[in-house]
Amino acid sequence: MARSRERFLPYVLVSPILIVILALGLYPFVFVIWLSFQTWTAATQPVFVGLENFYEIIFRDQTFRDVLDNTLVYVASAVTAEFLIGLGLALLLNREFKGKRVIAPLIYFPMIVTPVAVGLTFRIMYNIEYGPFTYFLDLLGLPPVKWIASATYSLFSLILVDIWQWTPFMFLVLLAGLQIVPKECIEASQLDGASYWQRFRHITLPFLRGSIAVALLIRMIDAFKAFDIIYTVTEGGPGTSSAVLSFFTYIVGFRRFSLGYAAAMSIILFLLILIPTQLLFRRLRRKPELG
Amino acid sequence: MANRLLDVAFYIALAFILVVVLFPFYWLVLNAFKWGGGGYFTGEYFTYPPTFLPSGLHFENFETIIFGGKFVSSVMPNILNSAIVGFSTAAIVTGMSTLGAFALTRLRFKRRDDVAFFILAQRILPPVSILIPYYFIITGLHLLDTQVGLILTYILLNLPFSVWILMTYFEEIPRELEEAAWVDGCSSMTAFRRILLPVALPGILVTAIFSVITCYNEFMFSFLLTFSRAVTLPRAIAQFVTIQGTLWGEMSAASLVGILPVIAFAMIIQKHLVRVMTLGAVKG
Repeated sequence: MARSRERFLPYVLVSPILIVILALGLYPFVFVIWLSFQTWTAATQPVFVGLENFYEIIFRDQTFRDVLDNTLVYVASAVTAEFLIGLGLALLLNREFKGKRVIAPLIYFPMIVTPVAVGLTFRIMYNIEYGPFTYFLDLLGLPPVKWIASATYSLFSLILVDIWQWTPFMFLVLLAGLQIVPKECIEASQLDGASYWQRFRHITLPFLRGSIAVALLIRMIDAFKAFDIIYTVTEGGPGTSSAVLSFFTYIVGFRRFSLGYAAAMSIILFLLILIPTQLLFRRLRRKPELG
Repeated sequence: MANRLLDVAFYIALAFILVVVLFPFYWLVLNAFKWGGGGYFTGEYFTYPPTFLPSGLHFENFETIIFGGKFVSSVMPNILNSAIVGFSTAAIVTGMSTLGAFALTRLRFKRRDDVAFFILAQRILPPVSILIPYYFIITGLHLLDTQVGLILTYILLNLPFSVWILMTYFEEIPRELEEAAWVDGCSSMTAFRRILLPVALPGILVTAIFSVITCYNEFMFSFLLTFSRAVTLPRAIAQFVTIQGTLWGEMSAASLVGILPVIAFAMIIQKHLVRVMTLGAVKG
């Protein structure tokens, strides 16, 4: 009796999670796949159209092209800048200094603060007539930049917000990664007269590789999902100049009510995220403790 | 001498970094304490050059968001909604994932690793892709604009990372104690309750707090699935941007009130932030 109870125990403990994931995760996802093959505007019945949505999106929809370009630019430039600045910060602050216990948490703040509050604060700061940025440029004798009001700079303005909010994440992860570099190796290399660059290239970097991969992959996946900042700072505008895929899918689905079309777009977004996610999973699976 | 110079350069760089990081916070606080006279496009917000110090400490914006004003209603119900949704979700998710992570790290069963990865795989789904079905599912269940509807949604968003982070905490606890208890004839559940649970409690609390933060900050689902009774704080803050204009002061005051609890929670779990934000892949 007791033994059979023990045998079923793991299944009893895990099944609530699996039920939730099947009902709330997998079922909606299957629904989206089904929907991506339909034309449906909510007012009418869904009509099966096969791959037409995908064909339309990939080969005919110029707006989608622009939005896809925006998305790739957003993800690539934000993640690259966050990585480089974050790595620089981590290397700079990886030492003891006065006030470290107070200053380090201050640098983490941006990433945990409610994105909506961040977005709206930047929206205020980007104001061309009354914002501080205009004033700072003025002090330097530069003409004002129409940050979020111009199609030229709106995407760039969003990327700046993303960099401000998420560089701390890179910094935090890479700083944690730096702690596993053995002190003896560093000391030995100093005795051998290695330059800073040699030390970084041949000792620090190899130890840091795992943390770098995890930080880059997680940031990449999350940057593809960006929504809150886009909605609060520019609403994708002017026009669709700063719309990215995640936000645009929402517009197509819930402002234009092309639900089948939006579903097909979200499948494309899913496929884009699949590659970095697979790489991340492979890293997580490699964890020696597991299995 | 060269060392002194390097030190000075270091502190100058540090000061620059802090200014860049903190300036938006400063602007938020500043705007919350300026006063626009309760209308659109009025008051201290609309001067050039912008004022970098308020003319005085004005608490009118806070009064407006607490008691409601001419153009806005009180955000107190929204804060309450956020708290109820956040804490309920965290309690349910952490409970489920503690039991699950125990089974996934301590008990032997078929395809254990596959089950763990199936749970994690939920993180591939871009939330926006399940937004459309959620709208119909929640509407179909008559849960649109209810706290329960949001809680159901947030449970799914939080489960995968919660299970994974807890697994890393459990894996760090040596098994010897539990094995000794088994030898003494305890069932695995008793060993879990009496031995593993007390040791793992700090990790469990960290995971729960992180779930609260995630729910508290969530905007997209709240935006779509609620419109009046169950509106959470982030969505309420976004409503200060209206077609007539933006209520800068009220919005900043609400944002400031909104981010204070998050900062407090983050301070508590500060040392664990790396782990919770990397699904346990990097340990702080």
